[in-house]
Amino acid sequence: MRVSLRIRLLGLLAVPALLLGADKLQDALAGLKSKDASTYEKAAEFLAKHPQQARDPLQKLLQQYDDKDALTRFRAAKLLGDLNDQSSAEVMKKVLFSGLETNAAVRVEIIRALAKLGRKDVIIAYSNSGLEKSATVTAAIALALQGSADEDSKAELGRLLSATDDERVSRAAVFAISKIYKPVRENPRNAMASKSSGLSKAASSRGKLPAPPPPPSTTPDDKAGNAKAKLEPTAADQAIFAALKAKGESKNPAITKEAAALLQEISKIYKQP
Amino acid sequence: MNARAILPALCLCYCFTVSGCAPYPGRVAASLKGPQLRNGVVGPATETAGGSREMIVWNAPDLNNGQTWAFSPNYSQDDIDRSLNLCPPAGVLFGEWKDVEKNQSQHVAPMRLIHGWSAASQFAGSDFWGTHRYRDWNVLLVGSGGFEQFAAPANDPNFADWSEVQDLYVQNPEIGRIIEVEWDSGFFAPEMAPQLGDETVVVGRWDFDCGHESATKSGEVKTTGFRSEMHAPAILISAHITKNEPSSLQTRYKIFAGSRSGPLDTVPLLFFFQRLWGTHINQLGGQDYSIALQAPQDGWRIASCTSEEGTPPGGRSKKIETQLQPSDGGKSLTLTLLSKPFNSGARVGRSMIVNAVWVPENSPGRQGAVKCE
Repeated sequence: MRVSLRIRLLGLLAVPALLLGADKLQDALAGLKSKDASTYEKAAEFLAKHPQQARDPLQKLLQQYDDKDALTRFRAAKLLGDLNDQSSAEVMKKVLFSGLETNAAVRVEIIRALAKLGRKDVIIAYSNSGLEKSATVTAAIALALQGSADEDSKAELGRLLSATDDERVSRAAVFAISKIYKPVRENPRNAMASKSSGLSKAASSRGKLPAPPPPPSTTPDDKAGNAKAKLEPTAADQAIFAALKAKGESKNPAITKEAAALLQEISKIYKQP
Repeated sequence: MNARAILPALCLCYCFTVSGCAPYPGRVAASLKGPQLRNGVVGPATETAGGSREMIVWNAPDLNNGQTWAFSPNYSQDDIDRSLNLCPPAGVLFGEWKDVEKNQSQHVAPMRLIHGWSAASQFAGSDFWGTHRYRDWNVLLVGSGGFEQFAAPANDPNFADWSEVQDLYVQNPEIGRIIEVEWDSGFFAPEMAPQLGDETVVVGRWDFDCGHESATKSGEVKTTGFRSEMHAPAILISAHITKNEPSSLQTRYKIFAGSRSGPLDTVPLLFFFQRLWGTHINQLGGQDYSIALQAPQDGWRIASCTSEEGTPPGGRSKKIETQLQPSDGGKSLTLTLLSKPFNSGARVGRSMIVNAVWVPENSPGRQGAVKCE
């Protein structure tokens, strides 16, 4: 009897505690609308610590297509990416393909969140759909594919680079491509960050995409000075090389220079047509 | 461990963790202490359309001559690495601000000039009191052209996470890179700050804020490095159109100069001692500065102008004298800050407001004979 009474009493205490928790959740969700950065940061911190409770309301917020609440949707997208819940990727996919999200910054944040969740397949499919007209979002797509050495990502980056005259998209695509072919620089902070990142875990655990091959991290010559055989480019590599060559004659000198330098570096490693 | 050892240790931990305790100066109006208007849709795209022109033109000296570093408009790993190399690990503990142009042979990095438009102008949300006398006044600038060479990749909200500018970015996804200008309000008068949308020229220390590493989790690059900013400025000039009619234009220019900017060079681990006397001094003295103040459109000439003292900065400083006279046949006013008589490291300052009335060039009346009262 005593034990059951205690359990009932605990149950009575749990009700206000749960209500208090619900209040805090509502406060945190309301905090996403705040223009005061510190209020938002506190709200985001609470939501990140309570992923189970936060996921559903955040997914709902993301789909409330009201111009006045673009900031809330932007932040909801960002947090959903941070929560690392794959069900959110399907919601984001739905939002992107619906065409109902009219704010480009929100779409950018959705792209970034999808990249955090390791869903480059959705990003590539959206990019290929031709639905996206904003240069800012297209640039974000290119940045999201940075360093991705799988054939689909490379093919998409080659397509984005060759299809655009926009400076932002070109800059982003050249940077993203450079991360595929340039040897990764040894920076202790980068190494630490990549060790602690959830991205690689998310991507590998889903198994949607094959693990990309490591970028060539050695020079073509070995220690003895003998030239190694150059790598055979794939179709996607060739598409990228062609796009870089075309950018080498671009009107923008900064992009021309960057593209030419990158192409020269690649030519040391790959056979080029 | 006894209580006498534990208590100071707890106090020290508390002071480091409670970063939002830099106070507002008592002299500042309550209306300035809260959030101010913010808007992403400002800048040259709107301001210089339809024959418009810049209202503030820097004449001399050429402060950006001999620049040893310029950020690429592209996303560049070299640019990201620049801040990572200059900012030490746990930078916030060993000096939060590092000059972008680190020069071993010079004790102080040269002052640089940027030109932009104010997208926000308000007090910082919080500042660590060990490196601030008072809370900073922050101005977010957007710009174009040469502006970009001063903005690091982390200054691009399309590339890096930056919670303070999310609202600006959502309002205007094409906003581009943003540079923050921060001035300890113990040495700056917030009343002299630009209003939302005002054209703004800043001269001052160009550095990285090593306290806030930006990140993007959207790709291979996990860190986008640290943001570059102007912290602290030595000269802040803004232009505001107060009346815009077909027959006359009225403009107001706020000019604020001050060589002092607070204890931002303080090593936070030693802040209890250093902040008491430490203040960063920009090398404002030793040379004069000439600026042309113009109408916002071509085809106007000055009809009348007045100048008045602006709100003074806090602290003691010697006053920089000024000259203000029409030039270029009345098409502009030339303002000269006469700081040559002072030593480069002198504590000097000036706060003034210039009001000008402009009329179409073909209006009747004497041309080029206006004297500013």
